[in-house]
Amino acid sequence: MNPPREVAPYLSQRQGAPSGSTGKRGYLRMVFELDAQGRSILRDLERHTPIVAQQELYFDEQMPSMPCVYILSSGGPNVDGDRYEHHFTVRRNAFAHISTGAATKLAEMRNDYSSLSQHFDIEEGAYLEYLPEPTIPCRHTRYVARTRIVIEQSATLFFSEIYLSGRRHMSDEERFAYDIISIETSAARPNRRELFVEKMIIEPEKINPNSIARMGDFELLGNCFLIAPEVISNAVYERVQPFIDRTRSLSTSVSRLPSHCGLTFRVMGNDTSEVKNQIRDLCSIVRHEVKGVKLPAEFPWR
Amino acid sequence: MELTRLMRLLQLADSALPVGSFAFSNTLETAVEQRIVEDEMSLAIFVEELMRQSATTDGIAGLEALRTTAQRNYDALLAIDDRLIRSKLNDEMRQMSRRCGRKLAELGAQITSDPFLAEWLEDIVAQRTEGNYAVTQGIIFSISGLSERALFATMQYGVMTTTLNAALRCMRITHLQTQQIIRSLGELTEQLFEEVRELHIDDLNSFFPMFDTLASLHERGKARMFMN
Repeated sequence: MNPPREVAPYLSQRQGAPSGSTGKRGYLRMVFELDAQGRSILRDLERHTPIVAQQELYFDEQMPSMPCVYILSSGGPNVDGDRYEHHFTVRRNAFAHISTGAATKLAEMRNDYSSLSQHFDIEEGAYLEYLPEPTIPCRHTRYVARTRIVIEQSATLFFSEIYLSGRRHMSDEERFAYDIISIETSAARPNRRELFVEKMIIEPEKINPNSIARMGDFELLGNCFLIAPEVISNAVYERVQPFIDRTRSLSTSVSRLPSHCGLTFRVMGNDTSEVKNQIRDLCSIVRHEVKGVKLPAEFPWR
Repeated sequence: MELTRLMRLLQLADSALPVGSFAFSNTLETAVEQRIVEDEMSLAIFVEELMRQSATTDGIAGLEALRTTAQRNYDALLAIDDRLIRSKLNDEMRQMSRRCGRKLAELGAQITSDPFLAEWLEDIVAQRTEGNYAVTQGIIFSISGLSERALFATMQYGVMTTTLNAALRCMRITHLQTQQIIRSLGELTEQLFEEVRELHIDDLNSFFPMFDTLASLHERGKARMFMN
């Protein structure tokens, strides 16, 4: 990935190991498919340090036949020049749940930026839940996230990401103290027909993230997409009621994506577990519509 | 600017131009209902943020459409139109853009007799393209011999007047106060133009989650004064 235009003002001669050195270019490729017995399994796994993927476990009580994988990073927070890549493929009629073992921390950056490039390939009738833990930027973080989804009409993907304003419990001053976060998410059909594209650039020095039009009094942003057959997304749309609840410091929106390909949800709040729970509730509705069962309660230690 | 062109600009920037934008509020009524906009100061911030959002979305697309029309590159124009609608992630916003775009294309084809615009209208009617408002504005400004700056100012002025006209109907605000807001925020347009003038269609971006939430509430709300 070439540096996008918006991070150009932040680039200078890097002091640390160059991008592409061992430990700087994390890579993960996972392929899920049905085996001969019709069980969904993690068929292929390739990873380069510092990314670690745990062995698939079948711990979901509501869907005991679904492989669940946690992604970890052995290298601590993402630093200047880190370039990570995820490639997830869910083959025909297979299903899986992917999360991360802990929040993704983004360190202070002085000369460059860190990036995560994700590619999802979801085949006919496949189903994937992607519910990672939050991403936490700190002072002077520069972060670029690019997500490309290629999905068949009959497949379902629930994709979520959560961004905090900073290390909120460290100091009052580290709220929206990062330099820039640039997030782009796009989707297409395998025949290259484009579905939607969303790009958000958050530069707190230039804009006020707490303006009444942006996040108001909220500090956490949950950004979720459901890409699914129209009958599924219509059913989910009817079951999700948007709200702004100042007592709970929580809000949720739901909108229809272009091309009748699914829905987008924004969840904002001030409490990490409230935002996570709200996103799990949305995913639970999706799972109920697609698989007929709900998400189990989250583990108490999560 | 010669007077003929100035007259064309005044006509296209007129809030009474019959393209139906008067029926939209840019979610202001929901913002008022949610007490996010309560007075002149919060209304001014709300409108300013709408101008910023418009600059990095419709603004970029409109300027690209104007340049592309000047080169008579019709395929590139279709690509801009497609890219713009795919970046509007709310149904009502897409609806507003399509509806006003079609009305403006009909009006433009009638008053200019330009074959480029006639083809554009034909493709909108045949559903071969979306016909976004911003793209259609870019085409008409190009064939009217009007500049990028004139187009950008018209788009910004349109955002202000649409929202402030709605404000007069859904909150306690006077005509004098809304005119004061237009006067003050007008000074922002130069800066926004400089920020986006060299950007391209792949640079479209928007970070306004609260606007998105208000649009979602509006779409599901029962009480409606306006279409958007």
